[in-house]
Formats: sequence, C-alpha cells, structure tokens
Amino acid sequence: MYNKSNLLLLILFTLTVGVVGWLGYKLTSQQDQQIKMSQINRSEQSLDLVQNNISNYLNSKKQQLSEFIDKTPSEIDDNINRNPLIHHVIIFNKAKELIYPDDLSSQKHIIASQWLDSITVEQETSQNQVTRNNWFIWYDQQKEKYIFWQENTNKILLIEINNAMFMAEFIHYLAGQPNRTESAYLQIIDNSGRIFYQWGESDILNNADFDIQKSLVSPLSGWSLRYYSQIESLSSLSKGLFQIVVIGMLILLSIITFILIKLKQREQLEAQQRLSFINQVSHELKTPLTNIRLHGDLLERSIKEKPDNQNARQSITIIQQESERLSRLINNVLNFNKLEKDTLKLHYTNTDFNDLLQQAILPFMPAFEQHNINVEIDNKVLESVTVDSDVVKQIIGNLLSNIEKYANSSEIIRISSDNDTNGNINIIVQDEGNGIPNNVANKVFEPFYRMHSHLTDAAGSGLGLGLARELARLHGGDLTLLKSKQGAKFKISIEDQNA
Amino acid sequence: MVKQMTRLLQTFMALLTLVFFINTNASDAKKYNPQPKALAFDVALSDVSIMAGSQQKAYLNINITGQPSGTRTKRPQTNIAFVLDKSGSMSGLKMTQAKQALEMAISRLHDNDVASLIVYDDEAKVLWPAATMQNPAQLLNTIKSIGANGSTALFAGVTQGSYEIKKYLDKNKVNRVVLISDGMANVGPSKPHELAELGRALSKQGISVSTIGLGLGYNEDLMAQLAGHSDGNHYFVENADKLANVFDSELGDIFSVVAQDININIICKGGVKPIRILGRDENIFGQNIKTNFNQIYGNQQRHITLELLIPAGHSGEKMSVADVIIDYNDATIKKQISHNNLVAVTFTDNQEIVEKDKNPLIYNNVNAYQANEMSKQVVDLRDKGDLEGAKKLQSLNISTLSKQVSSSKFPSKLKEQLEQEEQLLDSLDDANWNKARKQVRQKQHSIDTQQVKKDDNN
Repeated sequence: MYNKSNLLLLILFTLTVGVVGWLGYKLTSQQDQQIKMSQINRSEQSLDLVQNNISNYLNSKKQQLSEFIDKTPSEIDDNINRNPLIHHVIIFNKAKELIYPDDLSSQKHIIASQWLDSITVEQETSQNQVTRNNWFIWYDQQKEKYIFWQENTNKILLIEINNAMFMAEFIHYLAGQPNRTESAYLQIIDNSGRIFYQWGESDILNNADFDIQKSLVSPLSGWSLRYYSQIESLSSLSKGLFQIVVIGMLILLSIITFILIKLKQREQLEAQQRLSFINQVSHELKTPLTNIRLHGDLLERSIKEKPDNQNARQSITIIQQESERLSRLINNVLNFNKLEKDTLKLHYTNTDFNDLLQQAILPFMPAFEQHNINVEIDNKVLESVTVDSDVVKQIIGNLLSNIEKYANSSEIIRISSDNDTNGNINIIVQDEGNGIPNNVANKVFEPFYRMHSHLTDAAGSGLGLGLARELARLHGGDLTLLKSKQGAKFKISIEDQNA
Repeated sequence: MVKQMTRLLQTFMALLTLVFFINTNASDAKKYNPQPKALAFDVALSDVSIMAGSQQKAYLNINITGQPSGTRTKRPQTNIAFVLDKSGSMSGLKMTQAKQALEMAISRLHDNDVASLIVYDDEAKVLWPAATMQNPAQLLNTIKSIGANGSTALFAGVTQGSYEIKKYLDKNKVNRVVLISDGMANVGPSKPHELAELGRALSKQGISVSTIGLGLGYNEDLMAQLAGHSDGNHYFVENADKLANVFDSELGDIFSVVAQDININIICKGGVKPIRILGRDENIFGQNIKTNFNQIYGNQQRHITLELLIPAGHSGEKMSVADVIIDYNDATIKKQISHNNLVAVTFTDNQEIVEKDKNPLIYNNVNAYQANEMSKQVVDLRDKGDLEGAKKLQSLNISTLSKQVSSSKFPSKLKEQLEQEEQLLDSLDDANWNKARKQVRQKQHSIDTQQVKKDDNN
C-alpha cells in the first residue's frame, strides 16, 4: 500500500514533468520550425531576385550579340578590333555560303561548318519571322568556348566570344550589384563545381544552417547560384526564460512531492501506533479480566465448600484490585479520548489530601508487596485541598503503574508532597529503576510512545505519561521529569482551587 | 588720377604683350627642334635571295627598338591598378613587405598619374577607386589598413583592377595592372589558359598586366601566361624583401615607355602564304596579318617573326613579298606616327648566293624561339614525372643549339640562350625543382615576349 502510493506519486510526478517539458519543447520547436520556414521562404524570394537579375544580365548579353546580324562588315571589323569580348564573327547565308568575313582559313572553315551542324537550322523560317538564337559550348583542345548563334530569315550568325572576357564582365557585374544581403552568403558555382565568385559575410558561410540552390540560364546553364544562411531561432533570452520556468516547476514539484511523502509517512506511523495501542490495550484488558474470572471461580468454589474461608477473602481482594486496574485503564482510554475532543470537565471537591494519597497508592500495594517494594510517603500538604480527586488519583496512579511495570526492581518508592508559594501542590515520585535516558526525556510524554515497543516487554498502553501530563496541565499544573541520579523522578504539580 | 590709371594700364598691357611674344617664341623653338622618334624599325627577310623553281620557307622579321628614355624630356603619365593578394597565405612578413613596396611605388607617382588599389581574398574589393594622385596620404593610410585572410579570387582581382583602369583608359597613358600574388588561385577561373585569354582580352583594350609571383607557392604558368598575353612583365620574387626592387624596376619600365599601342599590319603580296607568327597565337585570315605590342620601353628591342611560304619563281626575277605598316602612339608627345616598309626577294639558281644572303640575326631569333619551345616541352615532360625523357629532350635541344652557335656569324644571343638551356638541364634534377621551374618560366616568358633590353644608361 505504502510502496504502491509512492510509485503512483512518482509516476504522477514524472508524467507532469514530462508533459510540461514536452509541451514546452513542442511549443518552442514549433515556433522554431515556423521561423525556419518563413526564413527559408524569404531566402527563396531574395534568391529569386538575384537569379532574375543574373538572367536579365545574361539575356542582355545575348541581345547585344544578336545585333551583329544586321551590322555592316566594317562595323563588325571595328567591333572585333575594339570589343575584347568578340573573338570571331562568322555569317553564313541559308545556303551555308560565307557572307562574313571575306575569307576563312580552311581550318577555321571546317570548324565553322561543325558549328553550323551543331545548331539545327530551320530551312523554313521564312514563313516564321521569329528569329532564333542561343548559345552552345564548343570544346577545342579541352578548352570550353562559348559560341553564340542567331538565325533570321536569310542569315546565320556565329560569334565566338573570348570566354575570359565574358567571365570578367560577369564578375564585374556581380561585384557591382547591390545584391548583398546581411544575412546571407552567395556563391556562383561553375559547371565543374568550382567556386566562380562569392560574396557576403564569410561568418555566415562557416555557420550556415541551410543552403538553397538555383540554376543559371544559358550559356551558364550548368552553373548554379547557391545561397547560404543561418536560422534566426527563438531569441536566447526567451529560451533561457523557458529553461528557468521549467527548472522552477521541477523544483516546486519536487518539494510538493517530498511534503506529500512525509505526510503520508506520518499518517502511516500514526495508524501503526493506533494499531499497536489497540493491541496493547486489549492485552492489558485481558490480564485483569482473566484474573477476575479465575478468582471469581475460586471464590465460588470456596464459598460452596467452606464459607468464611481465608482463601475467599484473598480472592475478593484480588478481584477488587484487578477491577480497579481495569477501571483505571478504561478511565485512561476514556479520558484520552475526552482530552483529544476537549470535553473533559473537572469536578473539584474538598478533599483530605492525605486520604487522597493513600487512596491513590492503595490499589498498587498488593503488587508492590509482591515485588518487595516499600513506599515512603512524606506529605507536607495541608489536610484540606480542593481538587478533582479522580484526576489527581489518576495522575499518581499512572506514575505508580509505570513503576510497577518498568521499575519493579526498586526497593523504595519515595513520594513527597508540599505546597509552593503559588498555592500549587507539588508531588514528587521517585523510583530506583533504570530511569529514563536524557535523549528520550521529552518523547516519553508523547501519546503511544513506549521506550521499548516490543510486545514481549511489560504491558502498557503508551498513553499513561502523556495523559497524566495533559490532566495535570488541565488541572492548572504540569508533569515534568526531573533529573535524578538513580531511577526516574517525576514532579506533579496541580493547582489547589482553595488556595 | 585718371591719367595715372591709364598709364598703369598701358604699362601692364605692354608687359602682357611681351610675355605672349616670349611664349610664342619658345613654342616655335620647340617645333623646330623636335624630339627624336620614339621607335626605330628594322624590317627584313631572313632570305634575300631564294632558290628559284620551288616553294620556299622564309621568315619576315620586324625589329622594333625604343629610343633611350634618357633622351626624352618627360615621362609618360600612368594609369596603374595595384592588385594585391590578401589571402591568408600573405599574412605576416610578406604582407608587410608588399605594403612597403606599394607605399614606395605610390610615392613615386605624380599628381597627374592615376592609381587604384584592389585587394582580393574570397572576393575582390576596390579599396581605392581609380583617381589622380591628389591625395596620396589617404591612399597610404588605406594601404596600411590591409590585413590578410581568406582564399584567392585572383581572376576577380585582376578583373576589377582592369575595370578601374578603364575609368581613365587613355592611349596616352601607360595603362597597367600590377598583380602581386603568392598563392594558387582557388576562386574563379584559374587555369593558365583562362588567364591567358583574359590577358589577351585586356591587351586588346590597351591594358597590360605585370605579374609578381611571390614565394614558392604561386602558379608560375598562370602568372607567366597572364603577363605574356597582355604584354606585361613577369617577375619571380622568392623573398618578400626583394619586392621593393621589383616594384622599382616595374615602375622604371612603366616610366620609360616611349611608345604605346604599336599596331603591326603585314600585307602579304599575291602568292605569298603567311603561316604563323612565332611565339604568338594570332589567328591568320587570308593575306592580312595584324598583331600589336602594348608598349615599347626605352632601349627595349622587340621583334615579330612571321613564318611564310614564298611561291616558286624564275631565276633573276624580283618579287615583292609584303608591305609592312606600323603605327604607334608616342607616349610623351601624344602623337600617332605611321611607318611603312616594303620587302622583296630575288630568285636565283645559285645556292652560294642564297647562303650568303641569309640574315644570320633573323635565323638566330628563329633558332632561339625553337629552343625555347623545346624547353617548354621539356618542362611538360618533367611535370609529368618523365625525368629521363625530359633530360634526353633537353640534351638534344642543347646539342642542336650548340651547332647553331658554332655556325652562326653573330652567336652572342644564341650563346646566352644556350647557357639558359644548360641551366635548365642541370635544374631538372634539382631537389628544389619548384623554385627552378619558376625561374625557367620567367626566362621563357621574356623570350616569348621578344623582350631584349639593351644596357640602359639610367
């Protein structure tokens, strides 16, 4: 039962923590995910912009070159001399006859024919006024050459450009673009996987969380534009705050669980104590009852045989004693209950204190005699006092009962009493038993406490001392344990209502 | 009062007239005493007499010599883009020395010179856009602030340098990119032929790129090709402390430019078939061959050698071979000058006359060129790991060259070449081939660009 509930508590605890943690994680990661997605979206957009600009740039180059088809030979000559981008210009008619230049070396002529073959010339363009143009890549001794071609109704234009100049112009264009974004690093990768040009903060490249890629248009169709960026996740502050909250909740939950466990343990202990109390009381009740029944039987038999028998007298005494013990026990239990419920009322009567002492001691005398214990009384209290004599007798009786049970090796019990200046009656009861060790001096007054809680030990309810103290306090006094060289020494003080 | 004023005005006017008069006189004097021509030309055929009856191979050679710059009254204006590699490998002493060399160079420029500064690492940045040197102190501060890190976007650096030049591009200025790099280009086009192509394109616009390879980590093929095809200089500087000297001689070259944009137009006469220009990769269409030099320095001698086929002729016949038209800009007087030459051959049956009329200097050029070409093949073999093959080929190269030296009437140039080739043979085995290779490339470059420097008086 005890372990089960603890386990339950533990499960509850981990479950709560788990749920809170999971929820928090979910929440933050969801937010992170959202931020990431929107950022990638934004990156895509700005990359699209760069890609568009580059496409426009490359298309404008195409446009420039396409104008050669309508230039005069001298204009073309001039361009070749002046424009470092233009390496060769060759123009054929649709019958593949050379129009420009006037003459070609046979080697160049062969190459130019191969160029013509690599573009699919449409013979029927006369019906279709749209001019077609594009690039193709020509490999000459493993060197890439970009060839631009353009076709209109009657001519085919071929331009071999200076690749390096084309690249230089492209780099100059890129370097002059205001397409620097603070949060990104861009690279242009050529068709062999080599970095062609790059720009941005190199820190971003080194700590990039993601990269996206776009392709370029011809003649750089094998090339790509790569965009590196970092995720701006939840600010570290709010992340830290979240961590603090989670840790705080964990600590709080731990404390609550600890308190709950402690409470549970105490309840458990009290239940156990009650259980053992019932056992003890039942045991206590059983002994005098057995004696009463035994002596009652004996008495019945001896009255039948010989009335007026000495044995009968003895049996009656024992029956009286045991009955007293029973009623004391029951009184204790009842008064304990009343005390707990605050319903115990005192009934003060005018009493001769000497008689009261004698009456309190008398029930124990047969037992004390049996253990060869002498009782020494030194009473200096005024004869007439106003007390609740039942309560006083019960207090003294509880002390004596303890002596009978736990200190029956004593030879003398000293009982002294006097009045103090405050009008209180002080009664000191001292035995010669084993005494009470200092470390448990306070605990002996706790209800159900017994110094040795083995059932085999002397019987006891564990109520006696605590009840006695409560009664003494109710009676305007106290019950305290005094220091003593040998045995236990208790001081009862009670208020004399008369004084 | 009014009279006094009038008199004062009259005196002033008289003085003004006098000043004008003196001035006109002075400029007249200049007109009558012109500067010597910037360039001298020597156009000749390797063979003046040719065996009749069959097609013959011959070489047309054009020697161009710059006038000693000491005889000129002023130096040309310059438009220089300094392009500095600031990649990680440049950090430390190299960068410090490079900056000092730059500062030195800047201090030698005049108010009217244009300079720009471009640095590159992962990308290229224009630190100092092209401007006349009105505020050198600020430029010097900019130089001081340069740090070194990142990769090597060499192509982009040179590109941006060339665009800074273009802002002030002027045929009457010396337009030059000066590139300093110690490493392998690893961003952007970085194959030697790609840089060669860039060099050609820039040369077409009148921009030369001088390349300074620093240390032993750079790609000498790339740097030599870039300089070679753009008509710039190429230097190998093993230790950064020599950078200042190199800058000094580079600036010396730039300041001594006597002529720019030298366009050579060779028009071959009917039946004459041009084959190629030695050491240059100009495309030849038809009979008209055009080539050019970006500039000629004072005292510098450069030459163009055109290989051609002369058709069969009859003995005793004389034939015009080609018309050579050269025009150029005089770098200091800012004037375009034109020069015209006609070369011809005579056909003969006499082999002795053919031999006697051979031009030994032109054949020296041809032989030196061929030896140089072979030495490039040797380097290629060595690069492929074929050490034995390389040695064998170079030994052949040397023995051919030795024979030519012993049979030549004027062997001094060939002897020089022979020494170089012998050095190459020795260095093939060298433990430090990397370094030797860079030296070899530098020498090959200077032969490729047909640069011969006479002893300068300066």
